[in-house]
Amino acid sequence: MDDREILLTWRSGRQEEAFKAIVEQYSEKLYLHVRSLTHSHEDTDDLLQEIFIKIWGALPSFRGDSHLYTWIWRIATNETLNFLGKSGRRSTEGLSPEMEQKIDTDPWFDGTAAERELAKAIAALPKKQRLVFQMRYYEEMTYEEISKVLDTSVGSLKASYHFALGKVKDALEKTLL
Amino acid sequence: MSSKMSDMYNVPEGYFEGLKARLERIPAEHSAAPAKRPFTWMRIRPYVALAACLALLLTAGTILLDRKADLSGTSESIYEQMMYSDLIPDTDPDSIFGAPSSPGESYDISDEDIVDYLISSGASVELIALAEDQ
Repeated sequence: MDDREILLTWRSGRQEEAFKAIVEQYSEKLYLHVRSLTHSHEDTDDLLQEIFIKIWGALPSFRGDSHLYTWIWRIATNETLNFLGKSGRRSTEGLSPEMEQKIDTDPWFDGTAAERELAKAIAALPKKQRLVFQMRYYEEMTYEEISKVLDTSVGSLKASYHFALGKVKDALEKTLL
Repeated sequence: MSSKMSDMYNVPEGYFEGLKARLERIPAEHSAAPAKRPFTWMRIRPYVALAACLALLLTAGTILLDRKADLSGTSESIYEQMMYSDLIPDTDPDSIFGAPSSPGESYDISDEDIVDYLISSGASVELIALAEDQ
């Protein structure tokens, strides 16, 4: 079921069926999106429950001004950033020791050592640059899609990505070379 | 979604099946989302706004036209008054005020008044002479 069919199902009064379709369509993708920001399977699991409760509660007020996909991504991103802010894992400057430890000791991380360093370099970026880099590099979203999720102009996102790329390169050169 | 992430982030076996089953229970465990009313309202809201604007325009237009009609009525009555005043001959105003206030009362107009009226209204000399004789 695509986004249009999901919304038609919802509007026809079959809300639970529409919600199940959203779970089916988005749960795995959202898992990876949230996991790449938290670097913790357990935190991601907890957050997904909260995110889908939010989606269920907010769906009646979804006006269809944006795509369902970007609307869901916005909810997920905001919830995750709120969680990271509250748990103090998101330092304003650089990589927090707690986040570094999470990345180093994540038992469900299957990447190479270089990918682990890359994850650290991304986690050390300022919030906006980190989000843009994450969505562009890992999730392969277009600037237009990211701009709708983050409610920012495409030009500003391109600039953020450019700065983020420079910082990530510098960080990797220091650690890997 | 890129395979970069799914290759990098591993999950316990059967995790996503369990996750989906858990998430699908949310509607039953949490208060049902309100009915479609907000959707309906959102859909009809532009039309309601348009109808309100039209009603406002109609009301404003009606009030404006009414005012114009009142103004033109006033000017018409002024013109009518001017037209009637032209019909009244240029005469001694005292002759008007000398008219009897009730029926049966005699006119308080002297012969001299009649002659003055005839002179001012441009009557012929013969008619004035006749009036003086009478």
